[in-house]
Amino acid sequence: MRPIASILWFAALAYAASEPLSPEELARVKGAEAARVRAIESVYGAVVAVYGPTTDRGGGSGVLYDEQGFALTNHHVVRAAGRAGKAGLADGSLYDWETIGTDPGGDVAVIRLKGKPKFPFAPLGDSRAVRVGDWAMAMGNPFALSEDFRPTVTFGIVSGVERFQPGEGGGRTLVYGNCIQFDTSINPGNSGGPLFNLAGQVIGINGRGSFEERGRVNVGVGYAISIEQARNFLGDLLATKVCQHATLDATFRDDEGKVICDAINEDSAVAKLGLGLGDQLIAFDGVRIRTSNQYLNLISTYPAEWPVSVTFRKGADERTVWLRLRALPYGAMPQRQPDVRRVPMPKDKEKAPDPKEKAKAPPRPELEPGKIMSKDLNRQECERLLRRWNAFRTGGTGVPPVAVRCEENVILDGKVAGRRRVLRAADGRFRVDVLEGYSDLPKGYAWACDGKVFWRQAPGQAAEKKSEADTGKDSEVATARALAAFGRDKPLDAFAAVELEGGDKAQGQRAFRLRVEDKAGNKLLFWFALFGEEWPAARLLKAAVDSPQKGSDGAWASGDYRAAAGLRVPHRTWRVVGLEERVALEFAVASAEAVAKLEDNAFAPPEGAK
Amino acid sequence: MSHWNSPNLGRMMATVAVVIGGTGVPPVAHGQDARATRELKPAGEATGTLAFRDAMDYAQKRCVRLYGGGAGREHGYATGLLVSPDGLILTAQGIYLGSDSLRAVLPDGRRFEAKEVRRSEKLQAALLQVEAKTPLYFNLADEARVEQGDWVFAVSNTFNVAAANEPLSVCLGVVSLRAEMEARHRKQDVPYEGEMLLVDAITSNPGSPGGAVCTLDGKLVGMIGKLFQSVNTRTRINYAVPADMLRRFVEGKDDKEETPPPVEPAEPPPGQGAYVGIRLFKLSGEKAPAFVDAVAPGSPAQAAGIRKDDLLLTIGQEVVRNCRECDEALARLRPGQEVKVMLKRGMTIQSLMLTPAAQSEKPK
Repeated sequence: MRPIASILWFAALAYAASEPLSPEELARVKGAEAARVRAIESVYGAVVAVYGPTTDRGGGSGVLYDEQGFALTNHHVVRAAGRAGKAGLADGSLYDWETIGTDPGGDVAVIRLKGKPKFPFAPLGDSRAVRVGDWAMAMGNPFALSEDFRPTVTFGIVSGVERFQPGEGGGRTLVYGNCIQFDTSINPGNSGGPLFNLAGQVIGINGRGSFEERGRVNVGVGYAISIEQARNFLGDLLATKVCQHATLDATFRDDEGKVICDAINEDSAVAKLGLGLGDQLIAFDGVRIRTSNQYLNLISTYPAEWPVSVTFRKGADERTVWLRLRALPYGAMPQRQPDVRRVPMPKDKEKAPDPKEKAKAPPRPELEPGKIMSKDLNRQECERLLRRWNAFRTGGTGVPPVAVRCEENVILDGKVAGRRRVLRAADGRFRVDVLEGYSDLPKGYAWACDGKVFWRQAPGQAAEKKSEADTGKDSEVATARALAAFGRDKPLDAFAAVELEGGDKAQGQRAFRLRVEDKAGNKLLFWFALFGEEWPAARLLKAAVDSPQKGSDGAWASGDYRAAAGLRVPHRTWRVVGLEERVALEFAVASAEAVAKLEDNAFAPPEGAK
Repeated sequence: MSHWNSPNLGRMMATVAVVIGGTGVPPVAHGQDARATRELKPAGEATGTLAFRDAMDYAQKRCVRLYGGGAGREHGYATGLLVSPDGLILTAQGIYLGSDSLRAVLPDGRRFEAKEVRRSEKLQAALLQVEAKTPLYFNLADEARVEQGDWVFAVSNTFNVAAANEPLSVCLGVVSLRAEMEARHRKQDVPYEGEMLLVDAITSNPGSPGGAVCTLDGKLVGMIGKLFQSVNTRTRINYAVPADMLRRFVEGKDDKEETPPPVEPAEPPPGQGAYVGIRLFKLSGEKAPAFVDAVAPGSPAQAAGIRKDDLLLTIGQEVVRNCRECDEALARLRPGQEVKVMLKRGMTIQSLMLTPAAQSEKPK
């Protein structure tokens, strides 16, 4: 952002006034105006006019955030339009769209447009940096007025941040927590459209306003769901889930500057971890909590099942506990037709309403909270994810080397405790040799998998071999095989089942959680970064054997990816335990090289193995 | 008054550009207390919106939320302005004032019972008192004056969005018009009397009345007035009561002007009217704008500072759209009775005080 330049635009009006600006002022004003126009142009094509099956029944808005046609909009827009419909872009064309996932609680949905290899898209910004007084641009299709689908642009300022707007009918759907309030003009039809900062980054999804007796037109009080919240739910949305929001199973009130627990479900995870009535909440997910409002705002933007830390004070004792949040039940889903209404046109009066028309209204998505709505779309997303992982891993340069050999330092309690050499082949075979002993592994200890047989050998002893049937049951082998399969042309065919479970956190970051079941029956979990510097490339963050604990009983985390041996190789791997991902063991790559040709017996068990 | 141009637009735009561009903004001293002064920092270089945000923050910390009883569709909440260090609060009139318990929530979250001190029918405003010391308040002696086209922002408890100690809502706009309203015995939808600032920010929402309207450097220019709705169209105007009128009301000077009720002055007999000493430029006819063609030396007009080429806009309470209306207004003046004259000179709007003399004093 160029704050000064960006803000000066309106001074350009002075151009027409009689007291002239100095040439420098005028140049800044015109420069700022040009920058603003450029920012609008850069995202104009990414704004979507969302309709149902036909364009004459009103509509909402949306914004493409991905060149493959994925767009964010409101749940209430999708609920009105049905599971699929037509979408208009500024290029004047109509495209088909279908619902990918939807969040009734937070009023966000992801739809996918089809019919173009590459769509224009808008970058997502950081809504945590938004402050009162910032400029805010809204784009969309108010009153469904645009005949050629070109969006309407309106402009104003951020009036408030961290606002809370209760749910529809006081319920748990369409809750706007931690949302952005602005005086930018939005009207019916703007729903689902983007709120931009002056740099043209999406900071929110416009969805509601305060009206009361003032009628359903702009009265200067609009609200946008923060893009932070949309990011939190994107994993679940892309997994085609009907998202659920989180609850800690406890409520809090303000008492003399302290946030005090005033109700708690005694069967909840947090109660079992020690939180009780009267205890003071200090921090939630690492955010210091000062008011009960702030806490309510924050938790409203969290998906069910997310791992969080909770810090509370019990008497003089302050403690931090980790738990997965539970799903907040929705209760009955409202079936009321939502806030996308047909704009009355003069010709409407001439045409008597057709009673059959209502019967022909598009089917609304059936909403089963927490459920994956489409296995097909979920599988497509898995494919897309693994393609992106491969693109990331190979740096987009194509063929990976036959194998990579790394020398690694083993770190225990922050100190180098040993050294080992790891040879990993692209097909999943691997061999590990301990060069300097660590833990209970002496120097010379080795283990490997040659694709059929897993073996290990202590120095001076005969190697121990596992049969093919048992091989896959070893998590290291199963993980290596799965990762090798991810690199193939049709990765999903190597598995009995693949499913994108939804969003989760790994290494403190938002992640996709992918669950695979190989043909030997091993169930594994893989976490890929949802965002990050390389977005939309997907980085592997963590891998674990599937269990009800979902990785907290032990997982391998990887990071510090660096280009080496023609690949991006994680230069750090950690054995992590617990939701807080406590490091039990760490491996740091000291050197990595590509292996052009493998010897025939590189992974073979030694002679005499049993 | 639609023929008004935007007198200060160019200059004010440039000022805005500089203010929020963050160059050379001096610290603004509001109120006497040092804490208040320190709060507004000069904008650092390239910090852009900082000065803007600081000004909003400054105003947000001087506005309170008011809660009283509502009834039917009338909302029981509003906004108020802290105008003294000992808890005086200005607000607009509304149903919330009629409640037995009127509560004020200060920006720091403290809650107080508010007592009504007095009301102004003319401004449709009320002065309240809470038993609280507040180092942060708007100093009414330090109010700023704005003209058409100037940027302002409004801070208010619109729709009661802000909860607990959340900062109040802010919206941005420009001054659309300064206009003189006449209650005219309830002939209009607006029972307000006096000058008002019309703004294009939407301030006519539930909860907004009593909110602050400020310049972009945080100086108070007015208070969002009581909600008025046209009986016929149900539209509302977005306006503020100017700060100078608020000051007079708080100082207790306003009420005395209010009584006795204004009586339409009778047309004085010919020759007994007041002498002013201006000639209007009437070559284009009676319907031409009231430009001054000449000012008689030694006349009351000259003493008041009226000059050739000034465009007369208002005389007393009357808007003069052309020479004929101007002549009529001048004819109704009484000798020795001081009136305010607003005029446009070059690109500025000026307000002068004119004391007409008797016709007998007219130089021969």
